[in-house]
Amino acid sequence: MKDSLPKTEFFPQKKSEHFSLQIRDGLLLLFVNFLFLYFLGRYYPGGVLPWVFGLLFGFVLQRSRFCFAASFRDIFLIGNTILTRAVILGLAVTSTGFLLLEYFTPGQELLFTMAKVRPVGLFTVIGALLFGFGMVIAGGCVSGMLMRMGEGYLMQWVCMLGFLVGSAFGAWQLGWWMERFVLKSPAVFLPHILGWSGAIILQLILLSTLFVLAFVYEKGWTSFYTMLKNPFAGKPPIKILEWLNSLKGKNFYMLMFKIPWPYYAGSIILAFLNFTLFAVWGAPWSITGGITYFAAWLSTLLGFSPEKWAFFQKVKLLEGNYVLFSQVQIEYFKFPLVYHFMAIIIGSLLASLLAGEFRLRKWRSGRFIVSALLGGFLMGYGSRLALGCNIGAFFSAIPSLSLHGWVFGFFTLAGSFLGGKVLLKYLIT
Amino acid sequence: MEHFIEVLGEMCPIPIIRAERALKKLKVGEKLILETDHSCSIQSVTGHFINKYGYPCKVVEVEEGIWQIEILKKK
Repeated sequence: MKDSLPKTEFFPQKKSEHFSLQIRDGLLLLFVNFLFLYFLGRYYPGGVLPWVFGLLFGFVLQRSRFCFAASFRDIFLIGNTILTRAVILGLAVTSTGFLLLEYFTPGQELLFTMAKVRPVGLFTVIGALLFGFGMVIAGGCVSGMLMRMGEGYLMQWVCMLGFLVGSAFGAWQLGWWMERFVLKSPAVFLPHILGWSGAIILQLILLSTLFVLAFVYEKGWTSFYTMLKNPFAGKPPIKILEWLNSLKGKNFYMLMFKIPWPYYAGSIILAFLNFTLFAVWGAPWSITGGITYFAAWLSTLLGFSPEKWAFFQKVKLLEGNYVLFSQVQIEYFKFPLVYHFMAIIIGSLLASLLAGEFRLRKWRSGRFIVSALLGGFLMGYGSRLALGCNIGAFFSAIPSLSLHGWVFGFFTLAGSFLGGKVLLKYLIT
Repeated sequence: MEHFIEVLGEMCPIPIIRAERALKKLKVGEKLILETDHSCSIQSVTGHFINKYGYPCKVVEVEEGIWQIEILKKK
């Protein structure tokens, strides 16, 4: 292994000398946000916290360029696992945080029903396959789509159209799946099988094994042994020092708002935010439910009646059988997560403006329109089927010690492998 | 010699794949300049070529939201 790697020189000339006017717009946007929060608080106080956390998540995602899609896809497409390792680290940190929270809260059982423990079955497998395939050809998963919408990528706005349609279609069609599979499938909460300590130990062993595998897959066993033999030569601690050194002479603005944060920093901050959200709000991070509510509201404008869709019906136990009950009326804008996904877009827009790098970016070829629409549709449908996206059914589900998170992760990986094949064949010109 | 490719409007990870393909054709000591409007590129492209290949990279923001990444094929 080389002792010191070459460094990236950031912005040695041109724009860095003067501040971009976009910063002014960013500050203005921040101010408008405060106004909006005031009125939101008066209309629907339950939306305030999801909005604030949405801004934070969007901001962190944009600043650290954190891309869950890449953490799956780049393994196959470019043999790079840096984001994979960052996601695994984030999962380990979140797992530990959630465990402490669940273990030390009186009435754990209540909290565990609040966590992302959901049924697992064939629908998880199919949903995850569709989702993984979709996110690769759409150029980003759900959080990535929202982040890039905020940065001005028009392709991701097209993807959102597909996602809305897919999500509404999935919400309508969910009844078919629920009757046959979902209601008959168990939610597997690992501590119920293995005990608390067994579950968390198994979880951390699995995550570290995957971390090592990802490292070796990219760099080979030799580098791994070298690192084990002499972990302090050019490896993390020294690398962090080197990194800190390279930051000398950069001012606060450059560090906070301009230069991208390292992936590991992004994953640890996301993990911390997820933990905080769980602690103060009572449920971990999830996104897609809000988009489905929004899609359903849009569909009422087109004359549909989402009250009849299975997703919006209540499940009740009647003489030993689960039955779906229709809701009389849905209040689309009194559902907290509706505000969350919008705020992620705004948070990313804010970060992008403060960095002075916002622009409307057009797609390069018409093929991307097709792939964005199709990928968005598959993600929308897949996430309804799997009961969440790679946030709710993966990044929050695995730390909730639910089996469905692992199943979702594995089959998303398989789906992204297939998506990568299509990308290489049809999307590169 | 400096070589230039423009990948504006490409979705991830196509900028990296196209840069890899272009760099394969270059001789040692030559530079590739990649012009991109993908904000992730300044992190993902540089990280990829520095850590995997050991090629030094330089990033210049030439316009708001457009970057030129200079990659030196070192060996």
